[in-house]
Amino acid sequence: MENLGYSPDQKMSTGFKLAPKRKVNVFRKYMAAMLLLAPLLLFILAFFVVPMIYVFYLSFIEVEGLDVSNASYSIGNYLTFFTDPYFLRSLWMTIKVSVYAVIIALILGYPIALTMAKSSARVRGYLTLLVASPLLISVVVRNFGWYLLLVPNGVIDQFLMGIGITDSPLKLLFSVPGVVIGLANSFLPFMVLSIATSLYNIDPSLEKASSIIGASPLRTFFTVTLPLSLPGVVAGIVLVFSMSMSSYVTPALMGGANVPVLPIVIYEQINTLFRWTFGSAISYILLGVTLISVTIFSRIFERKFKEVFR
Amino acid sequence: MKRMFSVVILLMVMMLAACGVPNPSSKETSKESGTKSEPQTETKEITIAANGGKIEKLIRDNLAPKFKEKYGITINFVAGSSNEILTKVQLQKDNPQINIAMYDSPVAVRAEEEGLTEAIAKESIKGLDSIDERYLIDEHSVPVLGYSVAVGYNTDIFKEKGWKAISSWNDLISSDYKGMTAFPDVSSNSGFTMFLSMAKANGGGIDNMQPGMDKGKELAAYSDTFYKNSTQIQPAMQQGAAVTVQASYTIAGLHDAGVPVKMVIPKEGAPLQAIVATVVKNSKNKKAAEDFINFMVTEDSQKKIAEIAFYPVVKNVKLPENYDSIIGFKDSDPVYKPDFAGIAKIQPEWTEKWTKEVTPELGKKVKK
Repeated sequence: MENLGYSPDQKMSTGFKLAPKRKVNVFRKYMAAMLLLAPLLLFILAFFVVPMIYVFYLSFIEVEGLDVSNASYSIGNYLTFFTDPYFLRSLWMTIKVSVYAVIIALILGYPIALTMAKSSARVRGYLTLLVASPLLISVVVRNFGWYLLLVPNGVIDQFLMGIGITDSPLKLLFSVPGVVIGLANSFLPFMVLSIATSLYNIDPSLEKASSIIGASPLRTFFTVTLPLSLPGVVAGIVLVFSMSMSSYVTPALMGGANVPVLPIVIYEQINTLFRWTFGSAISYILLGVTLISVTIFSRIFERKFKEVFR
Repeated sequence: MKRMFSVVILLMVMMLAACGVPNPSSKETSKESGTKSEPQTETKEITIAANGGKIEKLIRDNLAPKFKEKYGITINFVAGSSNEILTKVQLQKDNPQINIAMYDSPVAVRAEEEGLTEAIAKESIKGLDSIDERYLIDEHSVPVLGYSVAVGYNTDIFKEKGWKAISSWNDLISSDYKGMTAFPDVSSNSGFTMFLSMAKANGGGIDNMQPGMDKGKELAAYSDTFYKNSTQIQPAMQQGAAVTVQASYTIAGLHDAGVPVKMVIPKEGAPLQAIVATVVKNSKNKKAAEDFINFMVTEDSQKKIAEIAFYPVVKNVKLPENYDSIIGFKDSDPVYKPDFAGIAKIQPEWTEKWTKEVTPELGKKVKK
């Protein structure tokens, strides 16, 4: 034993020598990462986390109007929401409109993304610019453009009636279809770009291999391309759904009073009725429902297509 | 790690504290501090919050430069609807950044009830005596831009279809106008006024709004929607809507945009209102704020105000001829001064009731 030069002290001393060195390195790395992230973290903390906590706190205060002298802490705001059919209908309408917008954006977006993935680099560049170009225009301007086109007896109605396709105004505005058109139009670029990114990462040899072993292009699409693009599809769906759930401008302009989705209800509770605390509670209900729906949806897909989401 | 976590938590708590919380005692504190005399320092600028669009343009391009020339004080402008301004003033109540807040009359009453306005001494507004008393609310506000909320109709469409002229609020409910209406949403001042007027026309009023609700349901059935703001009404009226209820200056705006429109005061009456100026409670430079308010009710300023289709609030100034023929009213017309305090009290409750019970009736009789 002695020949090996081993002693309990030696073991201890070796341990002592190595440990601080490793610790210092880890600490330095950790500090460097923290310092680099610090501005962003502080920004998020000050302008997102703290206001959100404050809104959460407000949602537990029951108060009539702006008069805070009779304020009391309770879960009354949440109870009011879940016991009033008007608010529950509004929540259901918000979910319905968002799901429709996702479906339309997916149906329109996937073929565009696929075309982008199959195109040459130059064409792909042009298509990306084209797809992203609506984002360069303010959402208010874009929706007001739609509003002017779709207003009863407006340009589209007159055109369709003029060429004899319809004999009365279509009434797309102030209805769920109008809001869905507006939302799908607004968020289509997010769907396309998410799916396209996923399609770019598919190894082309997999599709070739599929063809070589005799699969038709359609079969190759459904068994190779589509499953491998699912992470992009799921990301696109999650993005479009979340943004539709919280969208205010489009439903306000395209739906008016007829499509009272939750963001409009929140705005009116706060700005017209001055019920800030109730509006805060609805904001958290909207946030909660969106988070839960998105989490459940993503988990289901991730479990079902484990191989793709690894 | 623990230390860092504690620092983050501490930071969050500090920021949360800085946000301020509803404090029942703050109302009393602000009342007390309002009574203290404020030392007047040299004032270089004040901030005014009022509606955007025509009013903003008038103040920015015309009244503010003239005021600066005369008093050497710069006017900063913050645009927003009356409700948005009230929300801002409420949020800033411990450290007001706005000196003059301009609201629709019912919102001004609300601001006063919340303790967000300073009393304005009668002697500091020299032009007060020349103001038509029908626009005056109380010593917390000075009316600046007058208007009424009444019915506007497309004269060409009415002539072409041979429809009889509208003379009552109840005339708005007609299958003739099916899908050709541009009525405002109850969340706007015009919308609530329409609701109240229909209640009055059917035996109700501020203390009994139910008749207005019942009529509102019939009105909704013949309408595609209720418009949430006047910006949306213009394209609708330009493209075939025949009848609307709007503020007189918006109806004049439709005329300016080329819509053949005329305003009518129904026989049950239409309210005479104003956009009023208030001095924000505890704001600095009260003297400069009062000077600007006074400046806005001088005859010269009121002439400019009349040129953008608001009723001048001072007796000696008249509406220009081109607007008088569209939105003018005669002394014999049944315009009245509403009970703004009463309206402010019932507005939230009945706005919500209308939204829940009347709005879902929209378009039920429009579809073929």
